[in-house]
Amino acid sequence: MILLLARRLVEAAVVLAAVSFAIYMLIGLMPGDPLDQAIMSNPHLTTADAARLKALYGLDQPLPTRYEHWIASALHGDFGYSRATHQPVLQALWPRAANTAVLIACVVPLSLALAVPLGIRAARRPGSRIDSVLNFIAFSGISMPPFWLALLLVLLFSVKLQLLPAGGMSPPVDNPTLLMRLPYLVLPVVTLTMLNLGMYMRHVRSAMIESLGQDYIRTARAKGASQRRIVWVHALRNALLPLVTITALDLGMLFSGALVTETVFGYLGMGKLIYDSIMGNDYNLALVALLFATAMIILANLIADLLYAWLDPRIQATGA
Amino acid sequence: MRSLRFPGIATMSAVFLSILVLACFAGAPLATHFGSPPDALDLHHVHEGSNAHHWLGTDELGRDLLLRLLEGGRVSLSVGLAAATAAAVFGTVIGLAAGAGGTLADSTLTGLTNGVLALPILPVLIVLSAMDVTKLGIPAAAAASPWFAIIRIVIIVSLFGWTVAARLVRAETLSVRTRDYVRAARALGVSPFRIALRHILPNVLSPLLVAATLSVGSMILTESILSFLGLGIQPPQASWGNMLTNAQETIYDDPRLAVWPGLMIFVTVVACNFAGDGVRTRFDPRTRPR
Repeated sequence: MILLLARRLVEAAVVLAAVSFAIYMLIGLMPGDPLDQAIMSNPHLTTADAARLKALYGLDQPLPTRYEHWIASALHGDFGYSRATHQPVLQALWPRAANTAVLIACVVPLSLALAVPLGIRAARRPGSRIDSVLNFIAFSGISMPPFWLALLLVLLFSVKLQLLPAGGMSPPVDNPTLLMRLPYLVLPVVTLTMLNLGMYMRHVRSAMIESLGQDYIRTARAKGASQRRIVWVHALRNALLPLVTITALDLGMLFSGALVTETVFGYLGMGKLIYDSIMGNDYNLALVALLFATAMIILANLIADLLYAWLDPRIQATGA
Repeated sequence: MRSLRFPGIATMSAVFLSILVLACFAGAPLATHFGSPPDALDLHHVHEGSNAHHWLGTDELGRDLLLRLLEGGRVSLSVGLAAATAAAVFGTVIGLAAGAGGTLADSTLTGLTNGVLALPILPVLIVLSAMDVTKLGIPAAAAASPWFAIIRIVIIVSLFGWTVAARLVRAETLSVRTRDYVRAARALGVSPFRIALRHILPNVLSPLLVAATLSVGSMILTESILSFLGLGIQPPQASWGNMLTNAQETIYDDPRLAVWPGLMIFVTVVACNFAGDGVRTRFDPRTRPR
């Protein structure tokens, strides 16, 4: 177990380093550079001044050299400043990450609470009418354009019924309480849950069908266990294994994957931060936010692997 | 198996998609031929409801909504098909190289695949779409043409879609290459390249076809997301995604404009997924016994 953990941690560090290099290069290819806008907006700045400024900040160096400088200061904990908000990058990042974490903390439990019973229902009679209907719903969730679902919900609940706010984080008052923020959470949470539900349901269904076909289920049935007990205790325990992995992976993905939903609803989370910083040429912030999102995915992979090895003793023999 | 539970839904989807393709590729050119091109503005008739002249009404610039939908569908469907094909080809090359090319190639390419899978895909796609291609040495005139925008989004979307095909082809290659007829071919002195092409590839083809068909829907979805965010197909060129970009502002006055393009995306992607599922039950023997 320790060996597995150590190997995975080293792998994660290598992937993260490679990704940071790739993303740095990509960001370097974005239009303009960090000084161009400042130069354009100041008519008193001569060409010579601009060149001096670029040399001062090392922007005349080739990209790989700049990356070396960046990674050296990043390893010392200095990620630079956001150009749009003039804050240190991490200070701009944390509140956004916290907002997305709130969103995820609502979406994932809700999706699971709906997907497990529905998936089991479908798996108990594969091919039945209820299975077909649930399958159709699952397919719809997977095929749904996220921005359209968000727009439809806004259309129904904000425009027609005028029950819920169409976007934003809180009512326009100072120090809004958590309770005041609640209505603003509803539509983003519902959107993300509907988008996720299909994927979860399909995984629960196929895992349940597989574990219901095992020999020990027949044994349980033979010894006279009730149908309810067979499904919810005997079969579900084994079917939960793949679900744990899927959930862990989804947790990592959602940190950046809620980008479209957050953008449509104006929810100030990680996804919107990434989108806004890319569109607003806030390169430092975009770089660190992207790396943070990548780190979350790698971390989620790691947790998924470890959980799987911990929950399923059969893995340990081969895994380490 | 699913085709038994859903009598004909895969077939129905395929028929729907065929009609859609036909309408999209014939509709807009026909309308242009009869003197009403899809991007013709008519500022005297904005936000009109359905009528005999404009079957689905007009948008905020007085353009015919139905014609715009067909025109957008032409772009979205082309991008989806082209990206799925490109991703399948790219994935096949990588998968074959990893599976048949020896240990070093295998570990490098598997590492690359896993690295790509660890990326936050949507944000990276956004960075790629916002990238200034003139910094890569592509002339500015070429970069500004509408054709370039389409080719570019096909490349970007397929750049991240190949991993499924690559893993599939690699796994299949690893299992096929130890079979007797491949070993016999190797013993006869056939070159590794020819073995991969003539003896391994035909075996991999049917699962690959299934994966490619199933990916068309997600490719269309990705294109629509990028276009919606203002980074894919650029207006005035219509695409289902960018027709919704302004819908958030007009949603209070004219909700139709928010509903129709999204409905087209949704129905098309659902149909693609069902059709792909049908292809799977037809071609992949492993799904049959269940």
